[in-house]
Amino acid sequence: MAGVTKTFPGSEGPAVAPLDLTIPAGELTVLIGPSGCGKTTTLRMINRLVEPTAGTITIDGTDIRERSLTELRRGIGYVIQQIGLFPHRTIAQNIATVPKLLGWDKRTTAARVDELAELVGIEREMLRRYPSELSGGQQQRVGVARALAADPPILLMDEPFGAVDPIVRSRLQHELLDLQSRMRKTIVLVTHDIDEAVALGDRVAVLNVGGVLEQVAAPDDLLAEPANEFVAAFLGAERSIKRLALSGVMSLHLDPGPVVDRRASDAEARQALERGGLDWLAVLDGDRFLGWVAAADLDGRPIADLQPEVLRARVEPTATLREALEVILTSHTSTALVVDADGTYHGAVTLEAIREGLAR
Amino acid sequence: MSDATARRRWVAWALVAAAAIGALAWAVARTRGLDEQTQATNPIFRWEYLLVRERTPEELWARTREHLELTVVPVVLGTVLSGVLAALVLRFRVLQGTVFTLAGVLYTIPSLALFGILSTYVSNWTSAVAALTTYTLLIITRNIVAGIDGVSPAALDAADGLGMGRRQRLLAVELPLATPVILTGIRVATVTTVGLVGISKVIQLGGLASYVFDGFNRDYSTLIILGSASMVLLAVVLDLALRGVERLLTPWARRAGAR
Ligand SMILES: Nc1ncnc2c1ncn2[C@@H]1O[C@H](COP(=O)(O)OP(=O)(O)OP(=O)(O)O)[C@@H](O)[C@H]1O
Ligand SMILES: [Mg+2]
Repeated sequence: MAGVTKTFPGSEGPAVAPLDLTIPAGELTVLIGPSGCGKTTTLRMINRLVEPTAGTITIDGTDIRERSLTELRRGIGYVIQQIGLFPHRTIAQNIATVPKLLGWDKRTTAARVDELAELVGIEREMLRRYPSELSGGQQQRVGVARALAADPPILLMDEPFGAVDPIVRSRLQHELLDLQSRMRKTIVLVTHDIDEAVALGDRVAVLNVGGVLEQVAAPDDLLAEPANEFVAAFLGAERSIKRLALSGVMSLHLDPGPVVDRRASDAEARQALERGGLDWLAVLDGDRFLGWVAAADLDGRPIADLQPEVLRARVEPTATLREALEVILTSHTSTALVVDADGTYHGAVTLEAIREGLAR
Repeated sequence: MSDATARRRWVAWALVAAAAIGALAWAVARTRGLDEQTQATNPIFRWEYLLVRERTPEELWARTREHLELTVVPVVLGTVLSGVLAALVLRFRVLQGTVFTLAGVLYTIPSLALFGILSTYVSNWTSAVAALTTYTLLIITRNIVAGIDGVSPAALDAADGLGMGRRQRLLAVELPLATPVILTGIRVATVTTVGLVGISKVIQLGGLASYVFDGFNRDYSTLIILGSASMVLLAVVLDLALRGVERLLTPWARRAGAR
């Protein structure tokens, strides 16, 4: 988008100020900003439901005005803010809208509908129902399936999860991420929920009232270094906590941790205890994690004679910093150990390491 | 359904019912004043007229057919013409006021005058059909426009966003979704027309209402009751038939309503 402006007739200022924005192919770009800031308008200029007052929009180097309206729109999936299913058509017919417009034959269309229903998690028996017979969350899935029907390379989603409760929303968000990791489509998603933006976006564009672009950045950079007061205020007071959810424990400098091999002697264990500075020790067998022993239980016997206990302060390597912090806080110690599902030991996460990770 | 449509449907039914009740009341009042002897030989409704008299079935059928024709033909013509008018209004919004005012003016021309003027130029049947057609225009045109205006903006937005053309959007989204409102308009027009057909008696038609007029002229209550009752019955049957059509055409609305 280059210098794209929209001024609605009869309004004083522009709804979208001259806007320059590049949306990388295969990535999910989030447009976020306060209500009425021009997010929907920006989105709708991409499929020409709104014609820009000035400026040009190009897709893969081609001006969108060079293609016919219907051809352009059929190649861009669109999930509208109000869902907008056709009430008089069954779910299957709703999903098949674009394939039908493109003249696909019945068999191909039916097969595609089944595939999409599966993809977005709509049971097959629902396909014969009408939209009014579905819950809000189910309708939103159908809206997404309908947008994906003809496998468009570009997907525009206007608050696709606005109408559902937080639990269903977070499930749909996970499903979208999962889908996106397989589909690698170019997605522009509008939301006014900063948590959603941070959770879903490869990049987040923050808009201000009047369609002024304040900052475009990856979520972590956005949270770490907001470009100005507006962005910082919009991101909210808990920026660091939000960032915790964005990086995994393996991105930290893992500590060797308060560990001792099961073949060690009592004296070696006491040295390890001192090094660790905690009142417990993790017992390893090579690189396999066996459990923990309390400092008070060290009574001169070799470690092999002690019975290691099950550890609660333990996270998997895929865990986020937020999950690690949660585990540390609930298990009354200042260190969590990173251990695979199969028992391989990776290292220790300390509060200090988390703090340093954020300071990066 | 819009308030205005609901009100108009009420008016239509009230017209038909008032005609029937009025005729009945008149018949009762007539017979009350007579002595017992006459009452016995002159009951409110002489069943023999309906059941025994040889010419009755044929005559009744002929008049029913005439009535039906004078209802269905104007309503069908009216629907087609209203379609054209509504298309004009929807395409060129500036015309909306003019078209509705014109249809409203047509609606208020006294039917007697209209029959009189038309029948000097064309055949009686044609002038009856023409006059009755003009009375359906306002109701049906209004409902087509209201029906299409009432389609949810979200559905239209989706239709555009998914790349439907103007025609595709009209045929695949707007018309189907406007169907309930349009059919309600046609139903109101039908019931109204059943009542209005009677006035074509002045040009030697009149359908079932001929019984009513004959009854008044000959002071014969049986005919009045026969005529009004069959008119009410016809109106009810046509209304139910159209409701049936609506159910068939809009399975989605039924299932939604059932929840
Ligand atoms: N068709 C229109 N005609 C006139 N003004 C419009 C139109 N559409 C939007 N606007 C105005 O443009 C501005 C931006 O609207 P837009 O719908 O893009 O906001 P948004 O960021 O999507 O808001 P929300 O979060 O509430 O959906 C608003 O001030 C709105 O009133
Ligand atoms: Mg919006």
